[in-house]
Amino acid sequence: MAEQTTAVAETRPLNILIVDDSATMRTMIRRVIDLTELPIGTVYEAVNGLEALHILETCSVHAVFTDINMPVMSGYELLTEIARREAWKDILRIVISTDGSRLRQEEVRELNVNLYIRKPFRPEVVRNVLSRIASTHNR
Amino acid sequence: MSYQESPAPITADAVDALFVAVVEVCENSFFAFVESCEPDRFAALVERLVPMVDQSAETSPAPKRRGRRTGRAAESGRPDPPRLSEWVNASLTFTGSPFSGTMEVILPVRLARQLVASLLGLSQEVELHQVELLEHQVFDGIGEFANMICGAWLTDLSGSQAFNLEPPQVGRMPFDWSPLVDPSLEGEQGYRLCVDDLPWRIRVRPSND
Repeated sequence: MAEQTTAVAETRPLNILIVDDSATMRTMIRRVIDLTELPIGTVYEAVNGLEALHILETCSVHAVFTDINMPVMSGYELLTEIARREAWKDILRIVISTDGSRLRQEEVRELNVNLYIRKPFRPEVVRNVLSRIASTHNR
Repeated sequence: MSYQESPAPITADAVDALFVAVVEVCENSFFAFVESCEPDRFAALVERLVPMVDQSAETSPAPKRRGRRTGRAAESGRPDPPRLSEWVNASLTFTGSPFSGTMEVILPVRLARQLVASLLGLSQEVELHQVELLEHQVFDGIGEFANMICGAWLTDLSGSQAFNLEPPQVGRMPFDWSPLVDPSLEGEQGYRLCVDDLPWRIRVRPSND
């Protein structure tokens, strides 16, 4: 029984939220996620920060992949809101952005962003990040 | 060196850096080998484009018609979808360091579809007509293509300073448009390029915004 409990704990599925105003990028990231053999639970999608907040308020999300530059509510505003809420302190935060300037990276680092992926990126970069966060998630 | 309130002109070094950004984006995310084209070769590829894609289109199943259309296609009343030899453009404005302006990519629909399919890992399915990319999907993907190039370019140029990118605007060029007969392209800063012998252009213009 103890072994079974351990086994379940080791494969706790990771629920992921992808936030990007480009449907193409969301599809691309989702395809990379689908191709991993990691224990992935539900993958949610949002087209901007505001939609992402609604999902975070109603669903259990363990990791957020977010773009920065989006209409309605930017990724920066979304990350600020996530950092503000105690209930979301354990959510892993990964930025995927075309803006790789040091200033932007420093800005979001202050919002407890775990990783910053600069576009363009190869699919294996996202795959490697997923492996890392899955291992963190199940620690 | 003093801080400048007004945007600086786009330097030759910056235009060189644009090509580096194009290669980075094409190779890393779109799995495409991009070449710079001399004017003569570019013209030959453009002239070859129409018969090549018309022949290809004859072997394709008839695409499904869609409902409401937006943008230039709807305004022109042209049938949907665009012919593969038609051209689309994606432009975006940028502000901040080291200068402000507009970047535009112009490419044939056939190449746009090919690039987006490659990004999505659907090249084979699209080639075999098992998957049809809809126009809005191609437009969204090409907008992201332009966005990535501009972001990579400005990241390289701006160092520690921030910049802002507006969302890309994507649309069809006029039905009979050709890069060989558009005088606005002459004298622009940018490149004539090709991917798999399909021609495309990228240009940048500084602005006073």
